[in-house]
Amino acid sequence: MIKRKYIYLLFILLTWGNVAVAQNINWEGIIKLLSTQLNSTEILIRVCTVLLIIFSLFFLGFFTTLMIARSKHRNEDAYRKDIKEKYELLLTGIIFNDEDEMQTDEWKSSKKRVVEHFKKRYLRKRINKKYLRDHIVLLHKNFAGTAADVLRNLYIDLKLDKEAMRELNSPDWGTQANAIKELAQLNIIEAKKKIKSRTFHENQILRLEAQVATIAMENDDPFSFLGKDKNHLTEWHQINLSKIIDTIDRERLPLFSRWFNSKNNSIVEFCIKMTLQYDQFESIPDLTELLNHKSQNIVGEAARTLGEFAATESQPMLLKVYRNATIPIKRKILTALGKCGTHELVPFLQQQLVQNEISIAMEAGKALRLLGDEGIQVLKDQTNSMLYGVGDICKHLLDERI
Amino acid sequence: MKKVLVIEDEDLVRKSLEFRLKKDGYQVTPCADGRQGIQAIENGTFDLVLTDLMLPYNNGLEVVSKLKSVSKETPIIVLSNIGLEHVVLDAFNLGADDYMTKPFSPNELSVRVKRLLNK
Repeated sequence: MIKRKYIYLLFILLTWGNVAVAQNINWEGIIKLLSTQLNSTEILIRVCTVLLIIFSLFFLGFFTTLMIARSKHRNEDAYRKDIKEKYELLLTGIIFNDEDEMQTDEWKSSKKRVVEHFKKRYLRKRINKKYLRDHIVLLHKNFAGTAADVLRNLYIDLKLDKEAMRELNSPDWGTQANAIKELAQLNIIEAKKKIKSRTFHENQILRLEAQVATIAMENDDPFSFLGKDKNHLTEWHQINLSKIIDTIDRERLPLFSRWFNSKNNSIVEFCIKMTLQYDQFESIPDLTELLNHKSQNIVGEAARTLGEFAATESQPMLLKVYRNATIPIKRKILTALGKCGTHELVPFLQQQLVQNEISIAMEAGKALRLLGDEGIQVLKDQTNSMLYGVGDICKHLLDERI
Repeated sequence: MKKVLVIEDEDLVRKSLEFRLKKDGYQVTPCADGRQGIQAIENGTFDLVLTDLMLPYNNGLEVVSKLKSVSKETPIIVLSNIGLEHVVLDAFNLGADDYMTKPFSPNELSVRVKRLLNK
């Protein structure tokens, strides 16, 4: 490390030396000599020389910056490694004890001493605090029970929560998002209000982190943001929300049909998916109403969910909507009818099987197969149909290997 | 002294487990990835193996099957933050003796290790 520093120093001194020498050179003489030797105009030689000097200086500056950055990075790494070892000792020593041992006065006073020592010795620098926070968060993610409680108390004792709370006011959205994640992981109740206020933030990642944290921490209507969020919920956003919803108690889940009347179509779609995910059968009437929605995607999602719920009562509405639906929605409705329909539907499905659109015929055939003996008989009767594709579809659907 | 092999890629978690198990009176061999873990299994004998599921080079399931092909009797506990039914079943089908989902209690782990070693 020291050797490298000397090399950098030597390099810089040499450069300065070269510049100093360059100031005393008879440039005019050199240019004249070059122009006669190279058979070129003086002005061209001048331009080339200037360009050469600019590029050399640029390269020199770039190289020096690179070396300084690398050296700084290396020093930071060494420092991080050193501080990491100290933190590991502190954290493992404090938290990985027997539960009985943790109740003793001796353990409590020794913990207090260690914490005080750490506060004085290592937590003056902001970077140290950041490293310790990262360590505590990582351990808290992995350990539960008494160890997690001890980690949380330590985090609060060292006032690291205040640091994270301060970062919530940072102008940088990335810093804010990380602070939200950390405060939610350690369940810092004080931060709930501030985090909730960011559930409508214009930055998508910050908004997502705030929504995820609110679902995890808030007991009082944690999903209220669904009623107010005007931003489009991307697939990625929906996956992250459903992941966190999956970790909370079923009793805390609201009826997602509450947001079926939202003006934000992506929220309606998400709520339909959650209704299906958590078997909220009481929402069947609301789902049936959604079949009249303007958005074809929502109609398709609602039909699919009604099918999965085997909601026989929605059959008349599905048939009514079918008439004016687009082909993709018609296919979804036919799939749903196969799952929630009754044998009364057989003539209707037979009609769909023998019309011109091949994808509709396929779905109608699948639905007929699902309806049991009567439907299967229709498929058997149509195996020799002269209509384009119908016979093949029926043979395919009756193939027992599939 | 009973020998325990700990395979965990997260430095801090591995050291914490090592600390806790040493405190419980075991001789601990730490490994930072699946490849190192498999090498340790091939070259040494252990009374119990503790492995994470998501590991670099060779994953936890590969470690389980390797251990069971070398020594069927050695118990193995899988630690993972994946609680999906099919993953848990895969681990048990390959021969895992226990499965703990992260976050887990170190005290609970300690009891489970003790129980498996006393079997």
